[in-house]
Amino acid sequence: MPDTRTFLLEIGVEEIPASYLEPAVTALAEEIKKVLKDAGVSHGEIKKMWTPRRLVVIAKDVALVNLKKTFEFQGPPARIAKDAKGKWTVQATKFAKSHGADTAALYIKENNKGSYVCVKKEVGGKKTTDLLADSLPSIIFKIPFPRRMRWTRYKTVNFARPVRWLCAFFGNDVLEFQFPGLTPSNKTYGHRFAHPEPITIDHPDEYVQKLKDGFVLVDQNERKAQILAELSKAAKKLGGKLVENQELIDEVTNLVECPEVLSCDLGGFMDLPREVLQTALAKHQRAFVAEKKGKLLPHFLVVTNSPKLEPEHSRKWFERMAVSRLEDADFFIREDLKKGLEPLVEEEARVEWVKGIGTLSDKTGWLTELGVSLGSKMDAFNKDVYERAAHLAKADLLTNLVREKEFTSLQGIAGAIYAERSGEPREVCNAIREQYTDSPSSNESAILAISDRLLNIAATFIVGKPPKGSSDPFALRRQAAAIMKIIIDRELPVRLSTALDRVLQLIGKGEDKREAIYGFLTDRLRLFLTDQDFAYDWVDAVLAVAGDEPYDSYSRLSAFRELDKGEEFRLVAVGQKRVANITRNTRNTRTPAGHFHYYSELALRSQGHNTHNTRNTHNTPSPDSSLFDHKEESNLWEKAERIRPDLESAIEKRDYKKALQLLLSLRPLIDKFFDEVFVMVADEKIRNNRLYLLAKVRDEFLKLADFSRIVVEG
Amino acid sequence: MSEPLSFQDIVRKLQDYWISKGCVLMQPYSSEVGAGTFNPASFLKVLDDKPWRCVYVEPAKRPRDARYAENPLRVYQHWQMQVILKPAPEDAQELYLESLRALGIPLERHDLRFTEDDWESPTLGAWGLGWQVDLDGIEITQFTYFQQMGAIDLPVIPVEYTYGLERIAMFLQGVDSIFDIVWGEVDGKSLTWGDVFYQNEKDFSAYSLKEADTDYLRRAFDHYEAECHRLVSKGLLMPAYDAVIKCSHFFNLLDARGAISVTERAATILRVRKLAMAVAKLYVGGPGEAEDA
Repeated sequence: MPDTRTFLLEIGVEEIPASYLEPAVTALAEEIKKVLKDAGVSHGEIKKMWTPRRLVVIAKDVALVNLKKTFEFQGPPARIAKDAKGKWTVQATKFAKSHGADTAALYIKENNKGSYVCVKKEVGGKKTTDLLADSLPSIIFKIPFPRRMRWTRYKTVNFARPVRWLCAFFGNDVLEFQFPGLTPSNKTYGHRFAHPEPITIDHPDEYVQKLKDGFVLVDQNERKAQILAELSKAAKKLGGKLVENQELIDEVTNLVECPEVLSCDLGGFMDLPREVLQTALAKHQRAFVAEKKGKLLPHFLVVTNSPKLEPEHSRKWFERMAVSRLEDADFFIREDLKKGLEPLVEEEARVEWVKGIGTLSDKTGWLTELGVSLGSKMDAFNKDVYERAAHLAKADLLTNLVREKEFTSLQGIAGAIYAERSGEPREVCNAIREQYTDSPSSNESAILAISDRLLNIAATFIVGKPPKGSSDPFALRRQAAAIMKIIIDRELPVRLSTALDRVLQLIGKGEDKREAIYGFLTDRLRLFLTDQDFAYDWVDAVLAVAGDEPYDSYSRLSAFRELDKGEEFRLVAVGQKRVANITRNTRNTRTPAGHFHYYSELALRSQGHNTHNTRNTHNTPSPDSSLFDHKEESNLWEKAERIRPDLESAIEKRDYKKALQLLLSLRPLIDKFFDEVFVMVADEKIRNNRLYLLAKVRDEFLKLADFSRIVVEG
Repeated sequence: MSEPLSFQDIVRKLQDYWISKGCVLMQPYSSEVGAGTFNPASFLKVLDDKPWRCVYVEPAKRPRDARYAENPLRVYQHWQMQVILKPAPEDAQELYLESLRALGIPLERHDLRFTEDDWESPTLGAWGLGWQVDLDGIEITQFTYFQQMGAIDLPVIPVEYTYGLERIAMFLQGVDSIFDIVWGEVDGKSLTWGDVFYQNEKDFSAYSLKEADTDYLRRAFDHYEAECHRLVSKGLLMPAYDAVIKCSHFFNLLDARGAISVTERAATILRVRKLAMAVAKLYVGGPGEAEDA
C-alpha cells in the first residue's frame, strides 16, 4: 500500500443554473481521474458533490507520488545516427538532448522496420501535489457548460458564473495552485444567510460535516432524499399523497443548499384544468402538489432554501404569486376559449413552420395526408377521427396559453382541453393530447405522433441541420427513438421506406437527402433495439434481412430471445458462418454466378427497397439430387425441402417462433453434412452441386435472419 | 414592524445606498423606453472601458402589459431602479443583498434565491448572464452581468441590477395590488400609486391596445429608421440613438395592437437591432456601416 491522502477540491461560485451542475461536476471528476490515471497515481473512490454555490470533487486514498515507469523512445534510423567511424552524429546527439539524456545512454535497436537509435527514460516518482497543482487550472476552465460568461478583469477567464473562492486540500495541507485572482485556501462558506461567516476546514474528511453545521447539505443525494421525505410528510399532513415529479425534484435539489418545505394554500382555481394548474405551479413557483383519490388538493408545497424562515410571512407571498400566475392562466384560457381552435387553424397559413419548407398550415395538411396513408394499412384505424385530430393538432401553438413561455410544455394538452370544451369527440381530443408523448393510447394518436416526428426529422435534414456529434438541437434522435418505440409498442405495420417516400413526396423536396434520412432512421432503430437488451449481433443479424419494418424486426428478435438456449444458437451461428464463407468463396471464384444475387439483394433490402417476403431466390439453382453420394447430402436436402412450405407460411404469418424452430431442426443435419462431406472436391460438377445445396439452405435461414452475423466466442 | 416604507422612501433609500457605494445619481431619460437599460447611462456607458457607476429610476413603458388598471400586478408603466457598476465588483452579490438590508428586509428570515435567468434584449443586440432574484417567490430584481451590447463584446464586464420597485413596495407594505402601494403623503393623508397613475393606466391601455394609429406608427417607424441611419452617417450620436429608442417604442405599440405577424415580428426586431448596432459602433469607434452579427 503506498502512502495516501484525501484530495478535496471545492469551487465556490455564484449560483450556477440547476441543469448545469451534474454534467459539470461529472466532467470535473472525470478529468481529475484521467490526470491521476495518466500519471500512474493510484487512488480510491472519487466522490462528486454539488450545490448551486459549489462544485466539489473528493478523491480518497490518493497516492503521494506517482509510480515509476520506464519508457523507450525511438529516434532517427541507425544509418544517420552513427557516422562512418561509429560515432554518434549530430542528429543522434540532438535526439538524446531532446529527452534530457546523455549520448552515453543511446543504443541501437532493431525492429521490423529497421535499426533505430533509442533511449530509455524513467518517468514518475513525481509528487501528486505538483501534478494536481499543474493540471487543475486548465481542468477547471475546461469544465463544459451550455453557456459561459466573462466577468471583470480577466478576459481569458470564463465560466458558467463567476468563481468566488477555491478550497483545496491534499491531506492536511492546502493544495495551492494558480488561478486568476484567487488563491486556494482552507476556507469555505456556509449557507448564504444562515451561516454567512467563513468556515475553516482542517482536514478534507470533516468537510461534509462542517458544511452541515453551516446549514449546507453538500451531498445532492442526501439533499434529494430529505426533500422527498419532507414533501411526502407535508402531503400526508394535508390528508393526501405527493404527486411525484422526478424532474422537478431534481431541479429543486439543485436550487437549494438547505431544503425546508413550506405548505401553502391555493384558495380557488380548482376548476382550472389539472395540467395547467400543475404546470403553472411547477414552472413558476417550482411547487409540488398533493392528491387524494385522484383529485388535487387545494394546496401546494414549496421547497425553500431557508432554515430560519418565518413561515407566516413567506407563505403569504408564495400564495399571492401563485394566485397571480393562475389568474393569468385563467385569463389566457378564457380568451382562447372565446376564439376556439378553428380560426387558429386558418391563422396557421401566416405562420412559418420551417424556413424554406413551409407554413404551419402546410404541415397540418401534410400531417393529415401522411397519417391517412400510414393508417390505411391498419385494421383498427378511424380515418375520420384521425383527420379531425390532425386538422386541429397544431392550432394550440397559436393560443395565448401555449405562446406563454411557461406554458409551452402544454402543447397538445392545451389543444385537447380546448377541443374537449368545444365538443370534439373524445377520440379526437385524445389524439391531440397524446401527439407529443411516446406512449399514445390509440392508433390514431400513435399515427399522429409518428407523422409529426417524421415530418420534423425530414424537414430538419432538408434544411441542412441534421444532428452532428453531440449536437442535436432539434432533439431528432429522441424523436426518432419515440417513433420506433411507438411503432413497436403498438405493433404498427409501418414501413420506414414507404413512410419516408410519402413524407418527401408531400414536402416536395429532399430527394437528395433520402439516403441520409433513411440511414438515420435505421441507425436509430438499431440503437432502440439494442437498448431493449437485444444483443447487438442479433440485431445485426435481423436488420440485415428485415430492417425496414421496426415491429417486424422486433418480433423476430423476440422469438430469438424466447428460444435462446445459448448453445443451440451458437451452433447455428457456427454452421451458418461456414455456409456463408464457403458460398462467398465460391462467389469470389465466380463459379456459380447465381450467388451474386444474394448479396446485391441484401444490399437492396437494407436500403429498404425490397418488400417483405418477395425475395427472388430463383437465381440460386437447385442441387441435382442424383449427384448426391452421401446420405448427409440427401438428408439435408430432403429436410430443407420438407420444411420449406411450413417455413414460408410461418414467415408469412409472422410466427417467427415457429420459423425459428423449423430452422433449428436443420442444424444437426448441417453439422453432419460438414462432418462427413467435403465440399471443395476437384470435380466441378459435384462441387457446384454441393455449393448449390448449401446456398439453398442458406436461403432458408436468410428468410429469418443472417445468422452468420451472430458473434461466436471461443 | 415599524411604519412600512413608502414608495418614495424606498426610492430614496436605494438611491442613498448606491450613492454611498460610489454611484452617481442619474435621471430618467426623456423618451419612452421599455426598460431602464435603454437609458444612455446604461446602453452607451457600458460600451467603453472606462469605469462607470450610476443609479437612476426609469419608468418602463410596456404597451403589451397594459391592462386598463384591472390587473393588480401588470401595468402599462412601472418603475425600475437601475444600477450599473462597471467593472462588476467581486462582491456584486453581497453589495446587492446589502441594499435589501438597507430597506430593512431581514433576509435570513425569508427565502431569497438567485434563479437562473439569462437576460437578452434582441432589439438592443444585447445579452448577459445572471439571475432573477426571487424573494418568497416574488421576482424583485433582474441581476445581469452584461456580455454584449449593440452586438459588441464588452471590453469590461459590468453588472446591472434592475429593481422592480412596485414588487418591493408591495412586499414591504404587504399590499396585494400595485394600485394600493403607498407612494407618500400629501397634507397628512396617504397618496397611493393608484391615486397618481390610475388615469395614466386607463388612458394608455386604451391607446396601446385600441386607439394607437397603426398606419402612422408604421410610417413613423420607417421614418425614424431612415433618420437613424442618416444621423449615424453624419456622426450625430445622440439624436441617432434617440431614433433607436423611438423605433423600439413604435414597435412595442404595433406589437401590442396585434399589427405585427409572427414572421414580421422577427424581421422588425432585427431592423431595430441593426440601428442599435450602428449607434453602438459609432460610439466606440466612429461611423461605419453596421453588419449583423
